[in-house]
Amino acid sequence: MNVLTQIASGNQEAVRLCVEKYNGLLWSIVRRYIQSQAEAEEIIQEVFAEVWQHASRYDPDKGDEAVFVATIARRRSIDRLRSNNARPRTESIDGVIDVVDAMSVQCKQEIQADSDVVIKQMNQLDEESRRFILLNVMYGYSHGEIASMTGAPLGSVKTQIRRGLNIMKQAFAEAQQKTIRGRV
Amino acid sequence: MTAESQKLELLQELLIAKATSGLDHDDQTILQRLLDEFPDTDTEEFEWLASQIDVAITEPASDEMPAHLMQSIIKQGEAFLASSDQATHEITDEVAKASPEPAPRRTLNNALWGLALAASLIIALIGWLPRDTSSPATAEMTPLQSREALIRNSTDAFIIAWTQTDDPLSKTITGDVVWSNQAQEGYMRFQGLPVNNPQLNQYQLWIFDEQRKQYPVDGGVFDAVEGELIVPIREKLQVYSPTMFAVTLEQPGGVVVSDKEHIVAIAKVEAG
Repeated sequence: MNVLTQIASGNQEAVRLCVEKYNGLLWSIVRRYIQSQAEAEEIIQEVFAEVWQHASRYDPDKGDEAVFVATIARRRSIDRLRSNNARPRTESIDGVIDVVDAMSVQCKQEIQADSDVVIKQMNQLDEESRRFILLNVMYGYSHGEIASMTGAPLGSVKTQIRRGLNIMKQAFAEAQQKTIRGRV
Repeated sequence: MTAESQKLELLQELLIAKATSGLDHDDQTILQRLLDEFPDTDTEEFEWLASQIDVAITEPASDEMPAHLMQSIIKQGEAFLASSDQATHEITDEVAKASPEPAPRRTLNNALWGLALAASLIIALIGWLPRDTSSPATAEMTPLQSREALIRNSTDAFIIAWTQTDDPLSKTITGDVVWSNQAQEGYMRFQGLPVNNPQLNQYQLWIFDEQRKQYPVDGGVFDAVEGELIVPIREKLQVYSPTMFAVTLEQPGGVVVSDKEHIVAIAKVEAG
């Protein structure tokens, strides 16, 4: 039984398991958006509070637990960023490209299949699209901000991000179909 | 490109923006209108996709979550699950036993209630729920709808979770209080508040105000029901700078000042 299902069924021991399992991932996500440590600590408490409250909503057929909890952390961080009208912590644009260039087909997390899909698809995008998607998805820069930072036309930023994410969405759907067929 | 396909493209862009950088008020309004036009849209798919990308690519932060914070989160989680497990039917007997004798009204030393507070969770949800242009609270709206309207339409509303106290009546209580200073409007939300007999006792809200040092503001009396309870706050005086909300159990009709016999829930406003 996965950790979230155990929490939803009231197993208090699963709370510690959940925190130990996901604190690194969730802290990393929050700190990527939030500069202030004090604010990050506040948000991470809110994130886990929401995990306790909504653990029963997790659907294993939809995807991995880590993605479920990461979604909560991203929402809270993005909302705080926007309400503060603040900037996320980022490396330079070149630093972002370094991250992508450093990616390999090896999985960084335990979600074997999903990470493979992400990494493979990201590597297949052209450099500019990959850059736009990373700035948008990983660092929360808006389309307008990305256009200003890179000098690219706003329409081009929107189109490339939309197309790139739709390609990845399709790839995930196909991967999931293969998994389902493999089970049958 | 047809008008419909243009709208669908815009819908996708806004859903992507919502999942990645957030939306301002105008874009949220446009998104809501498009979702009304295309109600079968999966509003979470890009959010999920963004999280899948994030999980696959995220590098560890340069600093780690402090160990004391981790322990605090674990304790809060265990306490949350423990309180969710409590049976409520036995509590009603305790409520009846706890009904105070009619007593002369006594002074409250409000500034120094001296409670041992568990860590309050300040839940700032202002940006979480999409803002919309629907009407502000009206007499026809339910308290729940009014509460949600206040959260959506207010620029200064904050939400604080209730903290349990040592009182036996407190152990099943969860929920939160929403308050807007600009609107002078707020709502209490409870799950697990023991049902009271209004002929024996009633719950009363107190609002501690930084600018009213002597006595807290009376926030009104109310009765508990089974299940989730939403109570509009009916403050008797203007609230300038709330520092804490507290619920006590009092005689029917409430009191002018509380003797603090039964403090069942508190919500402390964090400074800053």
